[in-house]
Amino acid sequence: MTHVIHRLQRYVDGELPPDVAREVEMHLQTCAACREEHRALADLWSRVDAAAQPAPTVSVWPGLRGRSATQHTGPAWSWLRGGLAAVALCAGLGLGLSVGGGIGPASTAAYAEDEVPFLQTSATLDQIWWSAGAQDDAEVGS
Amino acid sequence: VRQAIAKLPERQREAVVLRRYQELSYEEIATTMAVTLPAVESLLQRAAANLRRELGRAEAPLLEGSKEP
Repeated sequence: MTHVIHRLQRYVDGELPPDVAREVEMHLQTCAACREEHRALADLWSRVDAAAQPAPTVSVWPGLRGRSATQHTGPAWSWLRGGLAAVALCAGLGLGLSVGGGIGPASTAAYAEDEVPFLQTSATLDQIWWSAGAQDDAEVGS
Repeated sequence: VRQAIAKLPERQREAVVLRRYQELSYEEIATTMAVTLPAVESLLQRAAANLRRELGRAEAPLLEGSKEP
């Protein structure tokens, strides 16, 4: 089989038909030049992939959930805490109804985690690339 | 790496972003960019060559600086 350098891009991307991919694989076992080219190409794209990872989403909720999950005390106090919480809730509701005349829609609004804008920060590389690329296009011809 | 990608010609950069970042298949890239499958392959091959050249150029001074006098 002749060299397969022209097929390596599709091979690395897993875009070759299975039978052709097998031929390339067999050739790579016997051809050092193509093997080296394959290694270099795979290395390049893995570097690009690493750079393409989006910035991690920062959220305080997982940490808070984890912390609350680890702060349970022994079961002996759980019934007492539950009872006190129920009493406090009933008292609070009674007070609120008597003062405010009912529960309005605003007080029932709840946000899902991903709906709280100030708790989420993320940026996509796409935006970075395209904005940077717009500046560089003028310098590099196609 | 990001700077090297940003320096690619527009069509090559578009193919790279669609493939590596958006994780589209060659067929989907071809549809998105309104080109043929071989054209997608060619764009990515040329992008790879340009990226290797650009990254090699960027790293060469670092390697030279590490040589013994």
